[in-house]
Amino acid sequence: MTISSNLEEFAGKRIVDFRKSGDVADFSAVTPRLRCGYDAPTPREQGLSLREKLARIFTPPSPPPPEDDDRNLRDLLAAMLDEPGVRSTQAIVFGMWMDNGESYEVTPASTIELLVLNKDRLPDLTALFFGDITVEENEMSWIEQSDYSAIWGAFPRLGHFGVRGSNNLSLGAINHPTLHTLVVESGGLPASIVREALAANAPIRHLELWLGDEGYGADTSVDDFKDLLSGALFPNLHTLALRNSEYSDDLATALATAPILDRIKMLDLSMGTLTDRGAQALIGSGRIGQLEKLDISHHYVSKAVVEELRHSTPRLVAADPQQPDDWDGEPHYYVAVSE
Amino acid sequence: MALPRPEIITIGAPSGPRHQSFTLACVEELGYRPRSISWAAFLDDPAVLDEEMRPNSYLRFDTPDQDVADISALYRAGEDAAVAAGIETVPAGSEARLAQGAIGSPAQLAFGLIAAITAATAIARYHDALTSTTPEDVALAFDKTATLERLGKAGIATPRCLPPVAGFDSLVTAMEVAGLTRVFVKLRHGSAAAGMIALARHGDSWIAVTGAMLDESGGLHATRRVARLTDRKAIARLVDCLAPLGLHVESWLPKIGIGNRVADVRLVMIEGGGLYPVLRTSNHPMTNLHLGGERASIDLLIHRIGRDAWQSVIASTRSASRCFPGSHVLGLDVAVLADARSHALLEANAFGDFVKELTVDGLCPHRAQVRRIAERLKEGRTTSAQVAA
Repeated sequence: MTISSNLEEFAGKRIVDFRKSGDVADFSAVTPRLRCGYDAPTPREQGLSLREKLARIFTPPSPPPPEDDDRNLRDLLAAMLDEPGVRSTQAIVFGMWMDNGESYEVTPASTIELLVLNKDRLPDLTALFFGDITVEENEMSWIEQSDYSAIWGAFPRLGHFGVRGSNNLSLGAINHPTLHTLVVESGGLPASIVREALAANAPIRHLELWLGDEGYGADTSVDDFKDLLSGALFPNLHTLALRNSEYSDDLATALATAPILDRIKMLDLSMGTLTDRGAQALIGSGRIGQLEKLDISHHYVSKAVVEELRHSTPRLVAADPQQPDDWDGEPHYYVAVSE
Repeated sequence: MALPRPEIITIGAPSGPRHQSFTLACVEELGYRPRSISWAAFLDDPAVLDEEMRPNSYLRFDTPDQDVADISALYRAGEDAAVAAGIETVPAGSEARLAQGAIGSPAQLAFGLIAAITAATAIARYHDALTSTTPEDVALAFDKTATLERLGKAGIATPRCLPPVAGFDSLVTAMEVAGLTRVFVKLRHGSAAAGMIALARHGDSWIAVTGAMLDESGGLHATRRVARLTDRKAIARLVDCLAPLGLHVESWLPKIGIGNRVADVRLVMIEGGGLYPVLRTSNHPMTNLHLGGERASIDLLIHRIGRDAWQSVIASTRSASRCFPGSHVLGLDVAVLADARSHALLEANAFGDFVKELTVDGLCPHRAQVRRIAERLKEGRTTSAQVAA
């Protein structure tokens, strides 16, 4: 499983692509999305017979072939910032970024820079997502990210910040009065990003990290979460989502005895490699009854133990059960997004 | 005077799910079975078709499906044309392996099918019988490069085609020249995603998603298990082994995702008999059923992209069907793109009418087709009677 669908909704509002003036009628009512497109399919004109060419002169083809749109993400943002009514924008989603139809070595840095420069034109901005990019557009491990440290000071009303892809990603020092949701989606998250996220000085309620595959840059272990698990961080934490992890069992086992478990309402260990071991540790803790929701979807837990879990917690989501791959006689457990 | 009852003759696989489905459709619509001639029997002695012809006959062509005797006969019929086109051929006697997943030489099979349909069409024309398609249309539909060029000329949006490539090295060059980092490499005359590779490049990194597999002895197989190759050498080896079979390369346009699955559309068009669209969804770029694809209601897509965008898909498929003027039925593959707004025609399938469990208003494409054939034969008789009068 990878990410095959683009977002349809963000920050509670329907997403509308902004490509040209007028695409977004009311910036307060929807979430505009900016993104570059690959090689728009265009009908070819070459190879027409004389008769066909003459016919074209008198009856132009309809609909007209789409224009080649080589604008990069920064150009699109610049165009949107000139729109009347853009001041009421509350959330922006940034999708595919490209230059001249190429994504290789293209980062959103110039877009972030322009966004920060124009902070005064977006006084109501409370939610941002950088990287609404599907596997049909780019591999998650190929998404080139950037440094977001300038965002925190520029948008003091920001509540929700999300990114997909962790190549060259840096969150910087997060000092923020209102940031409550922090999401980093990755196929292989380096420890440096985990440290930046956990060091956030912000009223975080929803922390979501996709830890990913060692082969794609993941180099964390349960030890990296010691302070979080001890309850020393984020007094407002409501949702803890440590997803897409190769060591879901270790996380579950540590959580079973961790003070943080009594404080949170939602625990999300989905997209990972949870087996009976981790599930039984959670059951044995006797402490998951207070969770409002436990999500283990994309798991390797046996049916019997899933049932035990179901009896131990009020709301269990356990979709997409997996079977270990035993191509060499040894069981192998894969995360959902390892790319 | 009562009209002679319509007789449908199918030349195609003598058994298998397609054969069964069409036979059932005839029984349900007409009350009797169609006549059936296998490709092997026809190619062995084309006169069998001549003997089967009745005054009110309709000749329908279908694929050899998995029938080994039919596949063998068509491979032999296509051998000379394949050699002439510089395509690697399959040695006689090895056809049994083809029914078991060996990729073989799809161009050779296509050329055999075109030759056989050409011969059968000549017999049908002698008897003034209608045919389900023409050799010209089948030849066009089986050639992915020619199809996209023809559709493009008709003003229909398609992926961009790359010039012919002889192997991985020339593919890399062609991608660089075209400024493309994501392409589909397909067998130019292939079907059912056999030998298809979704290929993406990111600097020195490559990813190939494919159901094609190379065994230790260099044999090519169409597997049901889609693999992700990241080793450039392994990808190059695969492309180089596919290349002598004739490649088609086109830009990989990002498809829309529905419910976190990649989605595209198969639309069966029955000339004068309606549209049968079905959404195909998958966890990887190939949406074929045997590669883990699933069927879903087209309403999911229409709801997502809106009526107007859907109407423009329909308009494109209608234009596309006009590029195949002699075909009474076509299966068109359409990609609605990730922008949820634009679309592109991907392929035309001359035998794309068999889609399991697809019905519109209670009618499956085969039944709708039989109903339309019966109407057509009635119209045909009336017209010739008028001419005679």
